[in-house]
Amino acid sequence: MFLRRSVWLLPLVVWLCATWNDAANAQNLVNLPNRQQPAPKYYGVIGEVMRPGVYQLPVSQITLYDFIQHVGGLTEDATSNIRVIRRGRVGLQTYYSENTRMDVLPNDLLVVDSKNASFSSVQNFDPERSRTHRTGGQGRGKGQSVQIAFVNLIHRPVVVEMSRNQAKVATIVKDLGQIPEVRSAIKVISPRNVRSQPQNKNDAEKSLDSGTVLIFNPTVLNNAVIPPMPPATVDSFMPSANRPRNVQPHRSNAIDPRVAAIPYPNHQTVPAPGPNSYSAMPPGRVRLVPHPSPNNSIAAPNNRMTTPPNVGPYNGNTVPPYGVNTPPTIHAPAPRTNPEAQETPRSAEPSILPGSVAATPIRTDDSSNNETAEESTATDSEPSANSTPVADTTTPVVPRVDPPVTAPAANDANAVVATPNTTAITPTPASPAAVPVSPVPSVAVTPVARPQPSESPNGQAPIYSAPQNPAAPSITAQTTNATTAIALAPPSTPTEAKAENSAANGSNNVPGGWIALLAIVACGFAGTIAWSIAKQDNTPVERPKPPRFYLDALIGDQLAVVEERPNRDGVLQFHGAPNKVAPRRIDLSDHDIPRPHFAVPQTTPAPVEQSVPIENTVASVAAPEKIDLEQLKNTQAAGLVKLAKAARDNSEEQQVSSEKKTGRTIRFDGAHKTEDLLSGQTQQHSDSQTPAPHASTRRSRPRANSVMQATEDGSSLLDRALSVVQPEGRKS
Amino acid sequence: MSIALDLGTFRFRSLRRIGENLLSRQDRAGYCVLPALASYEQLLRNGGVEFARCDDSLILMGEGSDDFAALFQLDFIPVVPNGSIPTNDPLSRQVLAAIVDAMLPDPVAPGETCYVTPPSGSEHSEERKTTEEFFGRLIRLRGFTPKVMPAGMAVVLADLVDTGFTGIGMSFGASSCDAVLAWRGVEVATAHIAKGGNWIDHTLANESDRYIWSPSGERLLDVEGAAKSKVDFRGSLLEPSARSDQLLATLYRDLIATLLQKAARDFSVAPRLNEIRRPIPVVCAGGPTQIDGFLDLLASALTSVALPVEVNEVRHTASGDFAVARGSLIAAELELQPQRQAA
Repeated sequence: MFLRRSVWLLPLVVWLCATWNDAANAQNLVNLPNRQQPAPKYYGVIGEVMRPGVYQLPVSQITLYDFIQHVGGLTEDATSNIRVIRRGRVGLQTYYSENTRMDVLPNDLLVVDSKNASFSSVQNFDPERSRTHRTGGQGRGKGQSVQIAFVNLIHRPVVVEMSRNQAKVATIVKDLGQIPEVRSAIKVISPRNVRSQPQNKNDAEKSLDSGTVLIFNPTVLNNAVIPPMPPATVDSFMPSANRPRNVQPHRSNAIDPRVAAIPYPNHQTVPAPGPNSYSAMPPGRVRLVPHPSPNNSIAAPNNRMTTPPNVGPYNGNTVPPYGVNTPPTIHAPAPRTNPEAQETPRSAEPSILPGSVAATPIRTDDSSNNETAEESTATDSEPSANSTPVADTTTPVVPRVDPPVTAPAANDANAVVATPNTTAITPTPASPAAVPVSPVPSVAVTPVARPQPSESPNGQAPIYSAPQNPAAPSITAQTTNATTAIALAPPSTPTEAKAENSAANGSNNVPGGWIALLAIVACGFAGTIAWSIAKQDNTPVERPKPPRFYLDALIGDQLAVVEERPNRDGVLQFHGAPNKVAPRRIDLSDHDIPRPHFAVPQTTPAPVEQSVPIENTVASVAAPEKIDLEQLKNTQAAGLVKLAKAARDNSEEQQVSSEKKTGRTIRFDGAHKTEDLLSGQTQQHSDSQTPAPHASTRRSRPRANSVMQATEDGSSLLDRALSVVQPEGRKS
Repeated sequence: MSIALDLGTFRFRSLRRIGENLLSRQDRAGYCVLPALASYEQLLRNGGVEFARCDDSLILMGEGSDDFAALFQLDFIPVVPNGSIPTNDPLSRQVLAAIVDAMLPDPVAPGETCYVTPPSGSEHSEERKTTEEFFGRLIRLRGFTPKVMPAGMAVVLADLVDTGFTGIGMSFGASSCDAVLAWRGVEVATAHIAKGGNWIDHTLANESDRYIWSPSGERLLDVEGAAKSKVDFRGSLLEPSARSDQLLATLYRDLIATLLQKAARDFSVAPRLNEIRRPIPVVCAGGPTQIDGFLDLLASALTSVALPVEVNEVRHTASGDFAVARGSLIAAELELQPQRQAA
């Protein structure tokens, strides 16, 4: 009967659906910038800056100077040397100054080195203003913690601050839930050595220096077990107006007005709390509150990588921390004698704090009758020790009408009705001792639109548990999860309740059925839209997947660069004499010159008393360092021929180089001085002679190249060799 | 699979795509020689340092040689001195071949394309061609088909996507610099000079009387110190104040002016010059460009040199050290794109 009378309602429902979809689409296109919003831009900095951390800025590019200024500038111990870790490798190193033209790209991590030789801890950064997230319960504080950065762990760099005893690769890998084999795939960039080094077994147990960057290999990580990382700091940014603009930048630094309000998938947008009540919040205000992850929300308190979440918009005096494991105790209500206790909308405000369960003053035992409702709510909102993670925290809030369950005897003050797992509170309007509460078991904190108190047609207090009969409130409890974040469903107005009852009972009251149907459809659409928005907001920002054709990704610079070691299999075998001629020192390692000159005079080798055969002598001269008589005896004459051929093959350039090193030719201030090793005399070839600073300490010992030089001069190699072996006064 | 090989005077780099990642390899282009003592060998084995043997010596190649050269006060010998193949040093050529081998993986299929940017430290095209042929043989021995890509063109492909691969790419290397004028991804003209960062370091050390003493008492030109002072430079290259800064600015100005003058000459005879009507950007890459104030100096020099095209902006590469390799890889992927689409 109802269906037949409601047939004409079907077009209306269809039109309503279509209109609603169009409205939703239009809303998405016009008012919701999330779909068109670019990925958040994260910039990280670690080391000797005032506020190290990871920042989400609304610009796609920022200059190095501006970014350092944005994070508070450098500390006193900071060097101007800044390394940029881009795409997982140390590819860039620059120097910080106002004129630095370098741009910092999204997901870059800046490492500001310290002047101090000790890297054991960070000394001078501002711990109060730091944007890093401290982990671990010990060793916090200035000078006792170290900063560690993670790259390629998630979609953005992560900067954490942990105690020194925890700053080990093995500990970090364990905390991240990864298998120990991951250690070997982590590259550690320590401030002592900027080169990334693979980890071996022993290094994993060593304490890391502050400012160390761990570069993970994303291909070996198990992303499913990685705990939530500390969120980035969402900041606005204005480029410095006095920035030198001599050269036009190639990309615009204009502020992107579409700032992502969700910096981290572990957070979602919920209405901000009002001054007194949750429902009194001004529209449009948003606040980030932690949202329990379904994977590891329970393990979060014991996980050193987890950031303590923000407290929710609860205004009570005592706020139980998230994850505190305390079994819930739901006390049965006693008959209320004080009517003021029933008109406490503030105390009945539901807390969206994870772990809070009760939304009504449910402690009704005799000892707590005089307590304030806030205390009762805070006490009862402690989570359960045996609680389990929420199965689905994104379920939209849908009012459910459960059959009322009568509370235990009103005079049983210590009655506990809660089961270990879940607890729900069901309104029992029929009972004079029951306080009706909206039944919302295991629902997420979802920004569901709630009617304002003025919308209530009967002028009831803005709580969903407003008793129909104020004189006799009572509550009953069903099972719910103690650690579940709870949001209250929209209150059922009497009209809606009537409509729902009519719909549920199949009543012939046609206007009520229409309204009920419309209400259900409206609620369904509202829930769907809210669920879709919440799901969109909660969707983790994954690494951008490359397009179908990798060329586009390559051109768009979207592919991550993974560095691998050069592959050399086995020990190679080369042939040929090494060319030991080096005209100048070319080693470019970053170390100071150890000393201007050694002070210890080198001893001249003792003169050779024993004459040796000529044919063995020359070959032995090829030995660069010392003359071994035994070796001389064992050397064959073929060495002479080989040496002579090698000498002839030398080019003119090499001859000059040889002369510089072995012939002791020094070009300095126009002077050209050649020290004849064979004669031990110094010849001056120019007018302005610069005295050799250590000519007296020079070795008169011959080298192989001196023999080559003599050969190039055309003299007899054998004669030269003989003269070398036998000192000046002993030539035969 | 396609791969790009950036063979510089200072460092070798390779880049290839595997799945959704770009795999890179890089190594220093040099080696050092240690005496074949048992203690040295044990030390290297304990440190996990790879080495090679050569008669009575131990050869350390690549990054390890850099560290050990400083540790043992050895000479770090470049395998491509001044951007050229050492013609009279067989051992250097063997080490060079070993380092190039380590840069290249095994090809998936024979004849895969390898875009290579060889060092070009000579003014003469014949010598540069010899260098290219030498590296080409090495790459063919690994099973790849080499194709030479100028460094400037690779910079264009890597960083001028927003202008349709139209612009001027400048690569400032250790031993040479080149500028490429590209129009829609086509190389229109190329200018090359055999000067680079090493020339600046060497001249700076010479002119400022920078010398050091080796442990054996030899006085050597302190090129390393000159290079370090160049990196530590603070101030403006346009208006240097100190005398050392003036010298450095003069050298940089000379280097840039030499390249731009060469570019002005070579670009003016480019065939498709009339098709470039709008102002184009200039993007520069390379180690010498990392000094403070380089872009200002380059922009100032561009205003004083009459290039046949109009320049609207000057910028650094956004790809960092792998700009040349990435541009070469883009060229290789562009070549493979029709085959993939057909498949």
